[in-house]
This record gives sequence, C-alpha cells and structure tokens, in this order.
Amino acid sequence: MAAYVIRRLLVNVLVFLLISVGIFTLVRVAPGDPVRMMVDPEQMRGGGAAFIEAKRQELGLDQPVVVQYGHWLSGALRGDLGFSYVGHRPVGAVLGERLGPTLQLMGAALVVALVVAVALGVAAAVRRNTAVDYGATVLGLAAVSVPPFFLGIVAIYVFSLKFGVLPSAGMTTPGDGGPLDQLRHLVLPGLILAFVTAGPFTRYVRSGLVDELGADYVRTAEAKGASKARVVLRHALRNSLIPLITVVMYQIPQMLAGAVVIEQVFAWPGMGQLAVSSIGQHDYPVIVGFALYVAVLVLVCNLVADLLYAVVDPRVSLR
Amino acid sequence: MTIGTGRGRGAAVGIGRRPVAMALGGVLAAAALAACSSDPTQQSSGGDTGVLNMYLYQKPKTFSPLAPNNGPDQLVMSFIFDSLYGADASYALKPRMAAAPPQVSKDARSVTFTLLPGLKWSDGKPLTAKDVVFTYNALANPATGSAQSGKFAAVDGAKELADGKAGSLKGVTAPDDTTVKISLSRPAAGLPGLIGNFPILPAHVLGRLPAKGLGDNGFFTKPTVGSGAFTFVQYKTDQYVELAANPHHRQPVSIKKAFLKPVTSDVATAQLGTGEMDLAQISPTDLPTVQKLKDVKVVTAKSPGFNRIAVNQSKARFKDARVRQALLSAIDRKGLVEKVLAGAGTVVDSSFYGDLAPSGTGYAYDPAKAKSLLAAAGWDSSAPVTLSWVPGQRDRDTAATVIQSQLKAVGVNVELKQVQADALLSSYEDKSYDLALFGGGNYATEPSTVATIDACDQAYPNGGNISRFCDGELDGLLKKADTIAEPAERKSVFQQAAKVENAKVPYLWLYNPDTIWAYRTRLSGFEPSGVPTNEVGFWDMASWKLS
Repeated sequence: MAAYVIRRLLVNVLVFLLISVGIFTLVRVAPGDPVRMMVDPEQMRGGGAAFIEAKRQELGLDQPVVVQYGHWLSGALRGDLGFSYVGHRPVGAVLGERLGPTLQLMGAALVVALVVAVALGVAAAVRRNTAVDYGATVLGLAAVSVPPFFLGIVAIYVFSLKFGVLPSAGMTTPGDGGPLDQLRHLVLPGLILAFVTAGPFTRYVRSGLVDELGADYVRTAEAKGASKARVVLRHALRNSLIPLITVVMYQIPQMLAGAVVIEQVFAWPGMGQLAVSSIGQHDYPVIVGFALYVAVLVLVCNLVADLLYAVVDPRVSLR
Repeated sequence: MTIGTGRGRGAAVGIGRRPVAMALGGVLAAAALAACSSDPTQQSSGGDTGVLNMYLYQKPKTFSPLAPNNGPDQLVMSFIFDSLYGADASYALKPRMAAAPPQVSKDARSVTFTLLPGLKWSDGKPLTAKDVVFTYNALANPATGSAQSGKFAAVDGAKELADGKAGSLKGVTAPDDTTVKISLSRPAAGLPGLIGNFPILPAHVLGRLPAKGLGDNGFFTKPTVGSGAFTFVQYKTDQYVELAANPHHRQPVSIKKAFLKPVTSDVATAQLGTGEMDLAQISPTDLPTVQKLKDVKVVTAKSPGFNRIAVNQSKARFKDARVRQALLSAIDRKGLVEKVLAGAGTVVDSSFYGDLAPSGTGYAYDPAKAKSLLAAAGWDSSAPVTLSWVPGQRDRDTAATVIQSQLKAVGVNVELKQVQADALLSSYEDKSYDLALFGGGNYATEPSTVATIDACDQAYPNGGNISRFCDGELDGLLKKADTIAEPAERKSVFQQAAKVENAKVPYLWLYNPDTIWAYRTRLSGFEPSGVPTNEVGFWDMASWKLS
C-alpha cells in the first residue's frame, strides 16, 4: 500500500507539472492583455502608451512565455505563486482566504446531498415502480435540469424578499458574523448546491441498491429470517454504497462548477467568485493559481477514491 | 489499482445507521434553527439606526489615488479621503478642504490653494499644506506607480521628476501650513480642475517610505488613516467594506458606521426591499420594481457622462465630416432615450457640458438629410460597417439593435459585433474597429479635459481619443483656453471650441443617462450624484443622517 501511495504521488507530481505548463501557456496565449484592462488612457493625459509599456515590464509580461514560466516555477517551488495584478497581494494569500468559504459551502452541501441521496435512493429502490420511486426520479431529474442560478434567484425572492426569513446574500451580516449568523447565510446557497449535487447521487444509490437486493446473499439473509430493514440497511445498502465512493470523489471537483454559480448569485466570497473575477480581469497569477488548485483537488480526490476503495472493500488490494 | 480475489460479499463496509441518523438530524435541526431565528432585516440595519448599508456596484481593488481610476475604488475612497475641491450639483468646482476657490495668476502660470485652518487626520494629527505637497509629489512621480502623472505635466519640475533627474516636484511648495503654491512651466488655467479633487494622503504615515513602488504599499489595501467623513476599518474580501465615523472630520458625522457591499444589482434591489440595503444606484430597468418597494425613495441626477459611438477616423471612409453628420442624423436619439432609458436621460450634441454646449445646432432625427449627406460624401453603401460593443448593459444592448436598423434605413450596412472588453480595447489600439459603442467620461468640472478624447496628440492608447479625430482649430482653442485665467473669457473660448466640435462630430453622441438612486426613507440628507464613477468630492456624507 505504502509503495502504491508513493508511486501515485510521484505520478501526480509529474501530472501536476504538465498541467502547470499547459495552464500557464494557455492563459498567456489566450487573447487578452491584463495591462490594457487595468489602464484607462483617457485618465492619462497623454501618458497612456508609456504607462502601459512600463507596467508590462514591471509585471514581466514583455518576456517570452518560457522565461515567464521559469520565473513562476522557481517561485512556486519556494511556495510563492506570484502577486495578484488586481488585489496587489500574494496569490497564496488571495486563494487562502477563499478556500475556507468554499470548503464550508461545499462541505455542508456534500453532507446534506449525501444524506438526502441515500434516504431517497433507498426509498426508491425498496419501493421500486411506486409513487415514491417516480417521485425520487423526478426530483433527481429536476436537480440536474434546473439551473442553479434560477433556483438561487427564486430562493432569494421567496425566502428573503417575500417572507424575510433568511438573508439574501453574503456570508455574514456586516457587524455580526457569529456562528448562527453564518449558518443562516449558509442555508440557501448550501441547500441549493446540495439539491443539484444530490440528483446524480440518488440515481447511483438507487441503481446500486436495486442490484444488491437481487443478489444471492440477500435471498440467503431473507431465508434466515432477517427483517426487511436489517436486510436492506445492514447488508445490501453497505455494499451498494461502495461505488458511491468513486462517484462522490469524482463529483467533488464538479461541485466546484456549481459553487461558482451559487457563489455569484449569493455573493459568497469563495473560490468561484474569485475565478470569475480573475478571468474577467486577466489576473494571470490568480487564474493559474486557481486552475492548479482545481488540478490538485482532482488528483487528490482520485487518489483518495482509490485508497478508500481498498479500505472499504477487502476484495480490492493496491499494489 | 488492481482488483484482488473476493473474500465474500456483504461483510466489508462499516457504515452504521446511527451516525447517518445523527448527521441528518443535526443538519436539519441546524437549518430549521437558522430559518426560524429572528428577522434578518432587524439584524442587518433596522435595529441599529447608526449603521448605513450601501451598494457597491463592483468589487473594489485597491484604495489608492495613485492607481488607475476604478469606479468602486473611487466610491470607497470618497468616504475615507477628502480633497481640496469637489464639485457641486452643476459640476462646478466647490471647495472642500480648501478655504477659497483656487487663485490662478493672470498669466495662468501659477496657482495657489488655501486650506481651511485646523484640519486633522483621523488619528488626530494635523493635516497641513505639507500633506498636499507630499500627495502631489507622489501623484506626479511615475516611480510610485502613479497613473496620474500626466495631469501634472505643466507643473515646474514635472519632467525632471518623471525622468528621475529630480527627487521632488520643484513647482509645488508649502510656504505655510495652509498655503500651497504651484508654479507652472507653461500656462495651465485648468490645473485646479485636473488635480483639485485628488484625495490627499497622510505624509506622516507614508512620507518616510521610498517613492519607488509606493503604490504597492500595504497602506493602500488598508488605509486606516484618512480625512474623509469615515475611517477605514476593514475590507472583508468580496463581502463588505466596513467604515466608522471619523471623529476628526472637518464637520460632525452623524452616522456611526457604514458598510459598502459589493453584490449583484438584483441582490441590491432585493435588499432595498428587505431593509438590508439603505442606499443603491439602480438601472432604469429596475425602476418599476424599486418604485413599488415600501419605505424606499427614488431620486435621479443629471449625469455629465454620456454614451457615445466612436467613429474610426483612421479609416478613409469615415474621414469626411459629412459622413459622421449623416450617421448622427440617421439615429433617433430622443426615441432611444424613451425606449432604452424610459425617458431618464438627455440627448447631447457635444462633449462639452451644460451651457458650454452649442444650442440650436443639434442633429435632429432626419433620415432624408442623412441620405443626402452620405450621397454628397460619396458613401459606398455596399461595404459593411461593424458596430462593436461589450454586451451586458441592457440600455446599450437595445440601443445597438435600434441603431443598426436606423442606419441600415439610410444605406449604412451595419453589422453588430459583440466583443469582450479586452477585444474592444485591442481594436482601438490596432485601429481595426469601425464604430464602437461605449460610455462614461466626466468633462463637466474642467472642460479642457475634452482634449483627452478629442485632441490630436491624445490618440489611443496615449490618451482617450478613440476616434482618432484630429482638428487643428479645436486643438488650438483648447490650448488657448489653458492660457486664460479670467473665467468669462475662458468660457467663451470653450463655447467656440464646442461649436467646432459640434460641426466636426468626432463621436456620435447618443445620450446622458440619468443616474438613479434609491434609498430607504430612514436616510436623510442624501443628495444624488450623477457622476458614474463616484469620484471623490461629490458627496457630503457628514450631512447624511439615519432616523
């Protein structure tokens, strides 16, 4: 197992380096010029061209992409991801302060999504082809079909504007920021992200459990007089959840895409908002930093999925 | 990963019922608790009459007067920094920290500013003419990272400072604590209008730092010492800027705290209704919704900024003024104001504002005249003309399609081209665009700033002359105005310049959209500002009160 982990980590480092080359190059060759975005020559009274040129030199953008990458890599190996063109702060600090809110949003949504998906999936599998099953299917379809921004706007209208029971945006109330205040702000974005995430999970739980319920060992357990609940929850459900580990781990990076939209709608100060604004402003160092964060998330989730598989399923051994 | 031999099904995974049930119960209980707690409007602002919540239409980047102008940054700075001069409701220069209007010598070669006595920084230290000298040195020196040095070009010693041959700006001195004297290397009567509204920086905080890279100093992300009505407390990234009343402001400040919140316009509108927002600038399209909100008042202000279409005059087919006159006459601009702004705007025929603009020489909607002008100029109607703009603003999106059909009706084959902001700027630089729709600009307070969009030496990207318009007569008049200190005589020269500009049509002026503000009625003393970028010096926050 240890050898496997070390080998995978080394491969991941290589993959990470290749990704960094790709991202760095793509960001730089894509149309757009960060300096042009930050300067309004109308304010310059004739000094615009000189200011733009000086700024390009200051940021090193006048150098070949290979040289720029070399500078970036040597900094990154020392833990320095560069300086945000827009925020005027180190990229590590900019990303760091966004990580907490995004993890909070995604973590809460993941827990709720899993709980709801397991409950709905079990109910749908046990009561196949009944109203419960059809209801769960419709909910699952709605979750993947309705755009999160639409749900967000409807939720703001209903719960904030109409009934005034929950705040409409932000992570805290200015001047408050206590745990309960944060929780109140988390409810709407967290539940909507949970809803859109729970859709596919529910389908996996249902189909996995349906397969298991038809297996020989389930019939044996039933023949031995085990109760229906014990057969489903103690035996079949446990085994049906094994594939879900992989699905969840692959879904976590995808949740980030949903979080980007949710964060925009609810002004949630996370990674998603940062990514959107950085791309709009061509803040190269932050874009590269964010893209690498996503890459790390995918690599880590894949590795964790493989390791968990071996832990929970004795038939799997890692060599 | 390899799959090994099985050791039997059903014995592997240990997920118990109890933890799942506990997690489910915990999450639901927490959500229910959160949803059932007290009304958020009471927590956010309704319960505390001393707290103002205001909408920031974008996220701020930095709070530095040295940085290139950015609307939301300017709005925050207008709370925390004060300037010598601002502008009144008609956009004329108005003293703020200054004791009197600027004194410009007869030959327009020297300017004197006099400060109010007894001014203080928010930390209680005295604010004197030395702070003004320090600020102007920092702004005039490109080594600090200043994007504003061009505005000091006429000041004695500006070139030497910019070239690194001098350590300070020779022409700016402080003979005593309340007097700032500026000597000029050439006549520049418009200088007060160019530099008077810059936020003044604290020399006792920043003065000992090296000039090189000053703009990157951490002070500008957390400027805790200022002279505005409020002091900076913190910026919770992307959530809010927290401000507290400045006890040393030149006037007593009534509101204890202010939060400036960057949210989407939809959220801002919703929060006006819930009471989470007290003050917000809104778009004309949100007006019907906002007008229905309880305890919310809507006010408008005439804006000096205008939406316009740049016409690329580096291309031969747009060089003839008759073509540009024809394009302007072919657009029903009054109809546009009604259609896209619900009437909340004004049609303009010049880049000059107010009574400087020529009267009775407008370009009324007249397709027949447009056709005849195009025919006289030998216009080739078969060649397509692209109209580029950055989509996303509803009035401009609608205006583009209306303009396309109206220009097609007179034989101008317009093709619409939606582009990213960066691509539009790139097309200005490589001169590839035909027509470009955009907005902004405030040339009202100092009319000579029209030169930045019209003068021959201000072609983009050196300046803001995107049309690449060049007219010797207009350039001459704008230069002449800078040599005249006497206001009435100066005004007359600007009026002549406006006439020339009106006849040559460097841009297709469309309309000045009114700026619309909505606020909760518990706020009083608020006077709307029409300046789109909320430049420092337009608001008197000290006179705002919350009931």
